[in-house]
Amino acid sequence: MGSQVRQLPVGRVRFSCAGPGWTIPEQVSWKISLFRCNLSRIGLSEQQEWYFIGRGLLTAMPHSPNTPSHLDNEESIVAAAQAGDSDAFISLLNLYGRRVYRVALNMTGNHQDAEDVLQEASMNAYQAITGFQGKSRFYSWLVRITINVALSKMRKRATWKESSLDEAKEGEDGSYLPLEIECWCDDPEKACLNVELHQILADVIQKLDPKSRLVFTLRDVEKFSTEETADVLGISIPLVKTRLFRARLNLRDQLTDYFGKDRRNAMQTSRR
Amino acid sequence: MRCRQVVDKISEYIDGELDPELVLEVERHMEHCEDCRIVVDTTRKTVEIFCHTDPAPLPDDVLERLNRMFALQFRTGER
Repeated sequence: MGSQVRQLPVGRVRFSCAGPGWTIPEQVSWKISLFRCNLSRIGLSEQQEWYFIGRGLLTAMPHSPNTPSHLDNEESIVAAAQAGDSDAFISLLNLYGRRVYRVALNMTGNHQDAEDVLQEASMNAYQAITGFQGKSRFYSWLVRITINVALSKMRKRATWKESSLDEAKEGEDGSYLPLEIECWCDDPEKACLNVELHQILADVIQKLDPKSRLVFTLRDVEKFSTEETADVLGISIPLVKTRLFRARLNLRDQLTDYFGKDRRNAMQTSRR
Repeated sequence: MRCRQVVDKISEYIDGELDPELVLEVERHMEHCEDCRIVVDTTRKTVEIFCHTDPAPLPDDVLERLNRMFALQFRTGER
């Protein structure tokens, strides 16, 4: 049983998911989702009648309890985008734009380059989406495109010096000795304001070497598996593990400067 | 197991990817080594901080420029 996708017209419409072309089999749990930021759901009655303002894409599909709901949605949106539905593609950008921008920002280290990378990667993805075969998650496919665009930009600026992602550089022998041995405050995330935390994390991650930063970004920020990270970057699993290990310990050393017990006291004092 | 060996295995240990026998060795070592306990604990917190922090909001003007770019693209109808 596949999903159903219907394009909604511009303007205010009254839509019933039990209407023509929308049959809801008994004993099947249906999930109705709406995408597109500029749409508003203004009412849902007991008869499952939905009212919308604006233009967008409505999908209805049988909900399997074994499949995470966001993946149900994603498959139908990707399919619609591949069929040429521009609203579906915009929905994917709305879904992943922030995270693509974060990957680009972690790689390039500045907002202007991150925006350029987001735009170029989005355009490349739009042009190539019919070739997406669903063998990986859509997001990892999108991140692979983003990384290629960012690398190209960084190479032009000579901020990416090594010739290959797979090449182990000097010192990548899997060894690292912690420099700072100091307890942290109990809840470092609450030790500073949210905006400060974002800035601290952005600062410390930029001090990593670019390859370790990329592995750490995918593995611990974007929550890719080790295998997925290796696949997206085209490097070996042991190299992913080595770079991740070094990145984590290096970041731990740096964050100890902020969250070590003495430093926590200093931050609290400075805010008074 | 010595401190250096514990540190070498720290990443796999906090990911739960270490062999059970080695997990026991790491934990036995940490029972009497405070430095290693601190390093393991703070490394785990490092991962958690990055993992739990939502991305900074995408600036409105960035999203606006992206949407404008695609609106133009869709009007020309080229892929």
